[in-house]
Amino acid sequence: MADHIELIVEKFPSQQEANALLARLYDVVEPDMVYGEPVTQGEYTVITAREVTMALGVGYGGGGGVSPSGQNGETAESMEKEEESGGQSAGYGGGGGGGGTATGRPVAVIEIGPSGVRVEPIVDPTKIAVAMFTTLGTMGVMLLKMVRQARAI
Amino acid sequence: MQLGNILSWETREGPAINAHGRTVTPVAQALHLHTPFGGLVWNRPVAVLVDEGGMVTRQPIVDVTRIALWAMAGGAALALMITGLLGRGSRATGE
Repeated sequence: MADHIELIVEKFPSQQEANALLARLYDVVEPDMVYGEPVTQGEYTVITAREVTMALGVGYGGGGGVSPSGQNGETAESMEKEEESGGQSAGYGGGGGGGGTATGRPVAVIEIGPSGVRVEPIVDPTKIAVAMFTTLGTMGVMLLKMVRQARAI
Repeated sequence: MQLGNILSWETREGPAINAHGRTVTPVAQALHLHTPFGGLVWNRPVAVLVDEGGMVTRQPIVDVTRIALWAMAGGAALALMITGLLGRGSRATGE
């Protein structure tokens, strides 16, 4: 029985390995990930600034059990094996999975020149337009539902 | 700033950049969410510290796109809430 449990534990990834993987996630926290390398051209130096998001998830599970001997429907071969192992049979199973995503979006450009330092925001009109139409569409559908419900009453 | 072992919020300064007689230090803020089975990190630029002749000024970095998106989401939520409340009111008077 103890051998079976040891085999189960060895087969599954440990929490420490999962934590080590998650710790790699925090490499994103450094300001170097947000600010790009400065680029100098003539009298101006430009630094890009971006927003970075990273998410990671892992999961695993497993189980095992030991069944007593003497159950109906066993074959002669399986009964012999049970006798060798002291009258018990064990089984185990498990699985794991994980996933992650990383996104980046430009936010601003920092310009350093003879006249001073200027921060120029970067506006993403496509993103704003898509969000606006999605919001308006969703609101329209919900309002239509409310109006129909009100008329039904 | 930390909320137990799950949520933390920190501000970090990056390496200073010397250019054209000025020293510019970038500042970033990071939000961490960590659980035993997963984590999330959101890192964004916040400001730059400009050191010009000993005088340090802070120039904030405004994320116009994010503000516009949140304003839209907030406006939509508010409009739906108001519409829902008005609908409930009219149903109550109708009964």
